[in-house]
Amino acid sequence: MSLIKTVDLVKIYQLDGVEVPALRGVSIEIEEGEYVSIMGPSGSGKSTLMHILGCLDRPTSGQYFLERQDVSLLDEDSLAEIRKRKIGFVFQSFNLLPRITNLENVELPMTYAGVPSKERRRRALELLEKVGLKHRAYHRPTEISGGEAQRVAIARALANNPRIILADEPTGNLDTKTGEEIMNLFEELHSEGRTIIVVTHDPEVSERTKRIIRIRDGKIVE
Amino acid sequence: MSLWTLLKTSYLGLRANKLRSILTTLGIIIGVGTVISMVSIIDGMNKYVYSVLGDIGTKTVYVQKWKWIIIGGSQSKMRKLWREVSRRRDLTMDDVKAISHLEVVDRAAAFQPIFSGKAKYRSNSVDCNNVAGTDDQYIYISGYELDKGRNFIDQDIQLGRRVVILGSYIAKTLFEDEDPLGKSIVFKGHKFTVIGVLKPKGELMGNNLDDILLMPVTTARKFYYNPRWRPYRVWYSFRILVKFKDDVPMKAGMKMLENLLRVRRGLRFDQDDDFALNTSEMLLSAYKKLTSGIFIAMVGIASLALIVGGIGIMNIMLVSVTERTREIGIRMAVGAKRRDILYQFLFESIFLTTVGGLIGVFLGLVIAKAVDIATPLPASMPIWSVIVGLGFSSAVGLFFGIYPANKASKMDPIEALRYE
Repeated sequence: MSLIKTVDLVKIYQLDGVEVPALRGVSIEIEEGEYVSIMGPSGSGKSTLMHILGCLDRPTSGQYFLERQDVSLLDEDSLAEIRKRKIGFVFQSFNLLPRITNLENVELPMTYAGVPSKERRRRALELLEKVGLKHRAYHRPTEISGGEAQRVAIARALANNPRIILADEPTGNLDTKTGEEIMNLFEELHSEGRTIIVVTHDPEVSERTKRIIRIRDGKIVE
Repeated sequence: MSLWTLLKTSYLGLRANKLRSILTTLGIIIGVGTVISMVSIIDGMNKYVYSVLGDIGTKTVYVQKWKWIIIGGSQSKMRKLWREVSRRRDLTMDDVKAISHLEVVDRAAAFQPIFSGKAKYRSNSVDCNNVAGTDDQYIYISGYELDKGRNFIDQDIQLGRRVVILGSYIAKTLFEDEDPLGKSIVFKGHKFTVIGVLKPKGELMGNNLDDILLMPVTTARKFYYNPRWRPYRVWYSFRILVKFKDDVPMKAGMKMLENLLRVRRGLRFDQDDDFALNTSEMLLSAYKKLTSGIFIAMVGIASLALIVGGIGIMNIMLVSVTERTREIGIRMAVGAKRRDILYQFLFESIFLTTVGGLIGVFLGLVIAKAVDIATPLPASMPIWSVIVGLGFSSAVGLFFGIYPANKASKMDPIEALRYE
């Protein structure tokens, strides 16, 4: 069985008593070590799909198997546990905590995973070195450029050594050149065997991935 | 998440809004500070009063015509009572003798207070504020000691000799470096020979204990006592100081004393006592009643301050939760459980109030110390007040932090991440 498998995912939002379907039966499979993009215009349901794949949300109906476990049935605490151990998020707007240093931002997922502080520090520095930002470890996210912030965010996503990296428009707030650097970083991670899912509407981004899943009006197009 | 990480996270959260945090805790600081300073002052007062009353001797009974403490009653009732008291028969020297013969009594002394007046020796003069006629037992009961000379003897009393024993302050003021023994002084128009000088005893509640002039009780009554004067019938009436033997329980001794006096004064069983047995223990218990009333009022004020402070905390925590919605979303995305978020904010409010409590304790200490230095009240800080102060401020943080923290933990991570 694949690393990720969804069966007929349906998500319906209630907006002022009106049912708004965001996903209308999405079935996908992603193998371990794949580098996939989920592509679609805004309003296509790709964000909803990403939230469900990232265990931030649960489907209204349908099933989602992550490592053969049906996570659509899990409670919130168990979902948090999965987010912590198995998934690393990279957001369009970086979502780093501005008050603490880059190093502490990278440490954040590990603090919730109960990693001892010395180990945390060591691993966070290692990860910052990996993304080429060791010299920025003790700066705050507000003191670095967007490209650097996104690399800190990637280091944070890798903190608990998750099997899946979920990136939501990771280059959306960056200029072309830095965007490319970020994509290079993803490629590098992919070559190390990590599963990477990039959600985007930008064809230039999706072209660099190995497989493109297109979504439109809450359905997979091909 | 470890306690240390929680502490650090709270600290960072609060540091980000320094001024706001300080202003918010002000209520707690003031509340705790007030309580701590008041408790310290009252505690100091208690210790002082107890030591003072202990000095008077809780074991000494003052047999008098009136009770020291009369609580309650309307004005007209009081006036009636005082009229009744002023008509009561005086105690007598025979009463003293009878009391001293009681099995349970160690010593009994006669005491006839006299209006204060000027004493003179050659060109020196001094105002004597504590003048009385007594017998040879008085200085023992009230804890004086002779420095020079002799005590009164039976003949002094029987003959009503014009002799005096001086407190050290009066002796020093009148005689300076001269030896007072055998010298004559003039007190309110009568000549007296000094036969003794007492050792210094210091001060008590602002009274100079060495400002004392004693003469035989018979002399005092002969020269200065005037039964037609109302004060001499009530406030300055003849009294008897009684000290029981050490192994005699106070209650039992007082019962014997009461029975004896009732018999001597011919009271029928249906008549009330027309005399009173006063002890400093009565003062003590009245004082306790008074301070416990103050204490309860203070606790009320303090809890009000803490509640107001707590509402302030809750308000600011609610603002903080809203402001940090995105942070909550991020934390949840990287794996924080609802419980982790709950603890984070709860800890933050407890941290805030506990620090406020600490500052309040410190402030209270400073105020208490200032009162200690600036006034005669000796402030002393009981350790339990510090613990209670800190405990209550933390409890306020916990109680008023629950609602905001709960609100934070109930957020939807997706909504929270989208929050701008």
